[in-house]
Order: sequence, then C-alpha cells, then structure tokens
Amino acid sequence: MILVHATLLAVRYLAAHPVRAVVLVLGLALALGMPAFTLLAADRLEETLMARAESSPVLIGHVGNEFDLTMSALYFRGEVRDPVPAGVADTVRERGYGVAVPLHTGHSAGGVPLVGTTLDYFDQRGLVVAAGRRPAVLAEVVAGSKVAAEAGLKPGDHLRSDLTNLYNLAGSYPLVLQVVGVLEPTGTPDDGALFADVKTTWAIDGFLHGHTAVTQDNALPIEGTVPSEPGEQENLEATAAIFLETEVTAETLATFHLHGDPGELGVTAVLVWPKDDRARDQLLGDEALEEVTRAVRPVEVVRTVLGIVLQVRDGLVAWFGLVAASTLAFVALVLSLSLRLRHAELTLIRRIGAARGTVTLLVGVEITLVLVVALAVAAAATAGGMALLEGWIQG
Amino acid sequence: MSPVVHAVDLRFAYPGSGFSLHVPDLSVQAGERVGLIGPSGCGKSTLLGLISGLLPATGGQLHVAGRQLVGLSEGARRRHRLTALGLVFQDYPLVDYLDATENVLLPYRVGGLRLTSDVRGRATDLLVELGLAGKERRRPARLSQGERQRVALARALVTEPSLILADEPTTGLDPARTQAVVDLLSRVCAERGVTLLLVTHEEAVVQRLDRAIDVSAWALEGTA
Repeated sequence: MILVHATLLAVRYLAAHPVRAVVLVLGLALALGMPAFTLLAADRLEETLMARAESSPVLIGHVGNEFDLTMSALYFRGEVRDPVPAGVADTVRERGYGVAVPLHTGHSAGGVPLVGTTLDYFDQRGLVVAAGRRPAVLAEVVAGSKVAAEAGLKPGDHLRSDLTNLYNLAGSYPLVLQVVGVLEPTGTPDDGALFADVKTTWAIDGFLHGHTAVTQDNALPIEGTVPSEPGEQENLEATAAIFLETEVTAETLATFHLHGDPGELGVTAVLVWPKDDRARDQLLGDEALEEVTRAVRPVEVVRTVLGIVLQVRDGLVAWFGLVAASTLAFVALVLSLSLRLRHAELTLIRRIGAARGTVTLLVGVEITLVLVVALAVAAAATAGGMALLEGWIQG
Repeated sequence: MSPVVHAVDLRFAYPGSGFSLHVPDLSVQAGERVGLIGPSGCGKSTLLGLISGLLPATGGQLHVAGRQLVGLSEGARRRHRLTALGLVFQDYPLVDYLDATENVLLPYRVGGLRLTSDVRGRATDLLVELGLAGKERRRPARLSQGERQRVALARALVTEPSLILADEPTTGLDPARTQAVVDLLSRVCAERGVTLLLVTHEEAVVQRLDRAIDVSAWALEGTA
C-alpha cells in the first residue's frame, strides 16, 4: 500500500518539476542508449557483412581496391573504376572451377541500384520470384522485395534507367525498363536492388543498341527540302532532341545488336561459387587470371574492414563509458542537491509520522521512475536507430 | 475522566548536551486548551517533542492519549503520533508539489494509513469548514499565508486526533493574525472536543487559552 502512495507522490513530484525530470531522463537515456546502440549496431553490421561475404566465396575483379570491389559486387554500393572482361566468367567455367556469374553494377533506376547479371545469380543466391517471372529479354528487370514495396512496383510497371553522364552528348539515352517480377524478401542487399540481364546494362552503357524508324512522328523535316508524305521516311532528320529515351518493344527488340565480342565487354566483377575447396584454392592462385584481374575472398576483405570497425566500436564504447560515468555523476549531483532543497519537506514527512524507510522509499521510487523512463527512452531510441540501420543495411 | 496527557517524574536529556528536562508532574485534561510557556531554550519544544513521541523519554512515565510512551519503540511512537495526535508546526510547512487536499491527506500517504473515500470526504469537508472551498486543488504557491495555515490545521485534524500539539504557531505573525490563528485553533478544537497543547511565549496567546504551564522550572541545567 505504501508503495502505491510513494509512487503517486513520486509522480506528483516529477510532474511538478518537469524540466529537472526531463533533463535527468534524457541525460540517463543518452548515457545508457549510446553504448547500447553502438554495440548492437556494430554487431548487426558485423553479422550482416559477414553473412553476405560468407555466401560469396570468390570475387574476381580488376587489380586494385579490393574493398571497393567487394562493396560494389556484394552490397551494390560505390563504384569500381576499372571493369574486367565478361569473358573471365567463361574462362572460370571452362577451367572447371565452378559457377561463375558476371556482375555489372553502377547503374541505377530511380536511384535504386540496377545489377546486370545472369540467371545463375538467382539460383546461387536462392532468389525466388514472388510475383511474375525472371527477366527473359532485354530491358526486363525483377525488383527486390524492399524496392518493390517502397516504390509500389509490380509486374507490368515501367522504370527509366538513370542518366550516367549528363554531358555525354553522343552517348546513350535512358533505357525504359519493364518490371516482370518481384523477388521474395531475403534480408540481404538483394532486397534493395533491381536485377536485369547483363546485356541490359550494356545497352545502358551504349554497347548494345537498336534502330528505330525515323518518321514524321518522331523527327523533323530537313531544312530546305520538300516535306515527305505521311508515312514516308525521306527528307527527315532525326536529332538528339527528339529521342529522349530508348525503349525496347516487340517491334524494335530484333533490331538490338551488339558490336564486338561480348566476352570483351566490361563487368564490375565475376562472382564465383567454386565446386569445392580445392577448386577455390586453385582459382585464387591461377596466375593466368592474375594478369589483369585478381581473385579475392570477400570474407577476408570484410574481416579486415570489420577489424577497423570493431576497433572504432571499442573506442566509442570506451568513450561512451566515460560519458556515461560523467552523466551518472551529474545525475547523482542533481539528486543530492535536490535532496538538500527538499530537506524541509522530507523532515515534515518524517515528523508527521513517516518511517525512516518511507522517506528512503519515496526518494528511491523517484529515482527508479526516472531510471525506468530513461531506460524506456533509451530502448526506444536504440530500437529506432536499429530500424534505421536495418533499412540502410537492406539497401 | 483520565487526563489526555499525564507525566510523572518524566526525564529527558539530550545525548552529549548539558541540557536535561525533569517534569515531576503534568496533567492536561480532555478538551483543555493549555499553553506551554517559558523563555527561549527552557524546554517547551522539547516537552512537546516528548509528548508527540518525536523524542524518547529517558525515564519516568508519560501517558498520552491513552498510551504510555516511555519505553515504546520509535515505530510504536510514530504510529501513535499518526493515529492519536495532530501536529501543527511553526511556519505551517506544506509540500509544495501537492495541492491542498493532497497536503491534508499526507499523513495517510506517508504513514501507511488506509485512505478510504470517507477520509477523502473528511479532508474536503475540513477544507470547506476552514474557508478553503474552491481552493482544494490549489498548490501552496497559489495560497495566501492564512490559507496555508488552515491547510496545515486541516492536515492535523484529518486523522481525528484527541490531542493537537502546536509548536509556536503564531511566531512572526502580527497581533491581529495571532488572534485569528489562536481563535481558529481554539474553535476547531472546542467543536471536536479535541485537547490543545500549544507552545508559545506570547502573553496575548496565553490570555486566550484555558491555562498556561511554565516549563522553565523543569529545565535542570544549561540550555536547549
């Protein structure tokens, strides 16, 4: 019974001193929440990065920055400046190392990473189409679950690839992409990307193109000539101002063609699932592949990066520990000063008939209430931060 | 009728102090309004502390409201103070974050007494009776000095005590306010048949009481 009364009095006291209560709650919440969030976030990052790296045994890319290569090929973030020939995937397959999948990253549609690959990628990653089907022809894409949910995409919808170089006047136009499927959630970066055949991304690069008939509907008459009759293609001039995008239709699909050897065209990386450990070790040491490319184990790259991240985490936790200690000292000081200010009130309560324990209980309940609210605020802030982090992780 | 306060050979000494008090015989009858008088430091407040149970007597006998206090534990004296006595302190302290009603109910909140709807009703009735109708939800900061005094008096009365102990309730008040306070205390005690024992050093106060007891003769040595 006395606990109920003590709680009521504590609530009344805190409500009557809102600024003090809020400062105490926020101070404690920060002191408790920051190290908790740092630890949880670092653990979640480690878990996510390692899971993805462990499911991607070997990555072949251009000699250079292994970190950029791993981030781009596994997490679809950042760019890789130097591509590798797509034919490396064929070489890996021909030498019997295992399944090799080209990955072309760096393009986007509506700000969402667009990944050019082959159907083997879906099989190796275990990506299941929840609605629609896999991409079959040029300009068809499937959307990761998160992308589809956020943009409201469904089979039959259209997207336009983002311009990669605004000043490339002679270059390619945005490609109209058709969504033909939506993937089931996987909890990986695949949820936050669009997937197409690698030829589609080459088409955006301008390596693959089609021909569109120039008619009076989409062109201008050549100056000084006699306008042709409707439906005729004479005396017409196609200009860059007319075609604002490239669209693959049933009529134009057959006209799209590639100039050159597809094995020479560039991809960001070749992801390899070796058939066994021996094949993996041989692939990593294959000197013929090492002339312009380099095979790396993503798990080692990520582990190196995580080593730095975990050092930073430990430093932050130590720093937050100091902050927490000083905050607790501050809270103790505030409480001590508060008790001094309340000396008359607490004396009155005792003289009226409260036991010594009751006065202690009153103060204890107040501190407990502040702590509980601070813990709740810290937990909510940590959960919110983790939700944001989860969204960032998912793409 | 047995006296409300009866002390025989009552002894008290502050530990480590030269001051001690010896009350050979003291008796206050039910319904009486009695002043404890004497110069500053003569032991008036100490005697009030013994009668209220705030201080433990070191010897003799002290019957208050039907209970022998000498030899009682602190907890037992505290419970007796809560249920049988009403205390009015100098300066009428109130808890600043509680409204008038909650201040009146404070003995129940902090003393572990059962807080029933009857008690709540009694608290409200007391405030109304003391002229605080409509101000029950106000905090002390929004009450005048006189209103705060009446809230403190209501708090002393809410447990329906048989004895009110008031420690210099008129200190610092002007003559008119002093008269009003003593009259109010006398009236509410008389209406309820409650005994009033009041510490004062003001002649004007003593004149409005039934009688006065000079405590100075009971202080044995030194000063409090």
